[in-house]
Amino acid sequence: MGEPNQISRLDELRIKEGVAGLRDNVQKLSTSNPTQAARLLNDPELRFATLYLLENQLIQSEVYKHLNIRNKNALKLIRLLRKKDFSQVEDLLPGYRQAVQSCLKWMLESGYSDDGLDDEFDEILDDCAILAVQVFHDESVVTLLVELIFNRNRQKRYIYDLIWTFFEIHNPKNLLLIVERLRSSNPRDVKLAMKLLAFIPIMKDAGSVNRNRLYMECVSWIKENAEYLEYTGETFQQANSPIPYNVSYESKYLHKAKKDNEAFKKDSLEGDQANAVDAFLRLNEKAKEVLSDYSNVLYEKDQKAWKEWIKSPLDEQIKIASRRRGRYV
Amino acid sequence: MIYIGGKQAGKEAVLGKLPDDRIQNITAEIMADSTQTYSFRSMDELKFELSVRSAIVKASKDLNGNNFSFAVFRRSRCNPAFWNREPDGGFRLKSGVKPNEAIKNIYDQSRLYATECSTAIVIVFYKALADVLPGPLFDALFPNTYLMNWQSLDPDLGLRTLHEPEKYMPGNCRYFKNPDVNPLTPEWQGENAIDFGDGLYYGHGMGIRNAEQIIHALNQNRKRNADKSAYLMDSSTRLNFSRLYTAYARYQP
Repeated sequence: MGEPNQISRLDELRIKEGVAGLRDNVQKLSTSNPTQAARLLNDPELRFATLYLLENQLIQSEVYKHLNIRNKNALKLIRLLRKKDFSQVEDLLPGYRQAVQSCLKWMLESGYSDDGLDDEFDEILDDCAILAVQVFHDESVVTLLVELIFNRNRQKRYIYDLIWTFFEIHNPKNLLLIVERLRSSNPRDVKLAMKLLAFIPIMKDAGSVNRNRLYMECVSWIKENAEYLEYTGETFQQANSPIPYNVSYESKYLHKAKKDNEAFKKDSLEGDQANAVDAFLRLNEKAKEVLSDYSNVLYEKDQKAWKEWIKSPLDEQIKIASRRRGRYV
Repeated sequence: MIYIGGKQAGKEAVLGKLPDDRIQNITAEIMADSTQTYSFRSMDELKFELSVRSAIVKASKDLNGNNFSFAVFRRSRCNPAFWNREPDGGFRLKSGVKPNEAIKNIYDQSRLYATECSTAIVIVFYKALADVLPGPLFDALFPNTYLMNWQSLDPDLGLRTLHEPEKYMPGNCRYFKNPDVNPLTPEWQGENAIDFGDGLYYGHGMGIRNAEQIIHALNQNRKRNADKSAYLMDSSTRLNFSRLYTAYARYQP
């Protein structure tokens, strides 16, 4: 990685002389000195947007054979993404998984600052983000993904494929990146963050709660429940107020992290816990909520006391939980 | 069970007061046969909901039968005489244009329009209301119509998603989810579809098909080695008929 302000000569040319100036200069250099043209294109600091703008002239040029692997892969990926040809991307994976992943990451990270260049470029950036998280499970790009969503939203541009991708990661801890936007000074950031977090209970009172408290409560809810949230599959394509995550009460009650909607396998539970969860699942939703909340609080405070409590009859557990939490079922 | 003005109404008595309209009759039968209570302030309110539900099914069939195309939001298009196309691909009502005329234009000049399935369903809901409500009332209720997806709706539509509804009704929107979709075609991540109440659904880009056919079409657009089939989710999205009826009943020309 170079210095943050370091910029390649071709990017500098593009910024100073525009797209036509860039293309014209590269065309001349490609004819007179293809090796030098390739050297400039192979600069580690080159931004993806510059390569994208030169795509047509590079494919047919003498320079192409001098391009490095990053640039050749990027030019190939542009063609596949434009055709929406995922099967050909899949064909590359057995032999070139690492190369494809790192190229997509370069396209996204270096392309981010030029988001908005044109519709097709933006769509390619979306595709890079989608593949990075859905195929390569590369969570290192999630912060950038959230930046893209909120920056585009400020400009009233299209964001819903990126939002879909964000939730398809199925990692509730990433919600904290959205929660941060509740503290933004930009009203569009706050409005979008509230929409994306609308399934968090405190959001029902968003109109009457100050933003700082809203922020604190959301952080606290996510930290308390992240391990126990199950992805529902609901998206913004389907509903105006989707509930992408539900708290798995049985998971929270037993203090066992929920793995992607998998039901507890009874043989993975100890005898007492298997019996407890059977009885627990027959309770109504309110009782499940109160018990799971109390279980979580008690576990965090005193694990020895929790082990005793969880072994006690369910009626007894409910009595204690209701009394201690001040919520009767 | 149907309750009208606080009293239970018998199925035959209700059906006897309805017009000869298959969708209205199917819906009333579902309500009457259900163990869930459907309460209405008056027979007129029940008739209003039934007529809107029937109009939703008709608006779906009409949209399916014309030249309204499918396009992803980035390539959506609309008639610029009635709508401004926004940077996110949505259609915003032009200043000085009457909302009910703009909605009806989508049907009259459908070849000028193309968008995704969620917007199509929103258009169907608006068209049904434009057909049932008097023009001036529709225009007063929806003066700033913005057609995009579920995120930009007029609050007066009161669309609400029920996560585990007891009964599915004609005129509600269901969702077919495609969890293993080809990631480069997110437009196939699922299909919003209007429930006709007889096993058929209208989904924009799909046409009028049964659930199995819609699931089959979605499954054709999955990634390689996908192991999860598309499926019909339990949730169901409906208009707030009660709120709309209140506006309708209060309306004086």
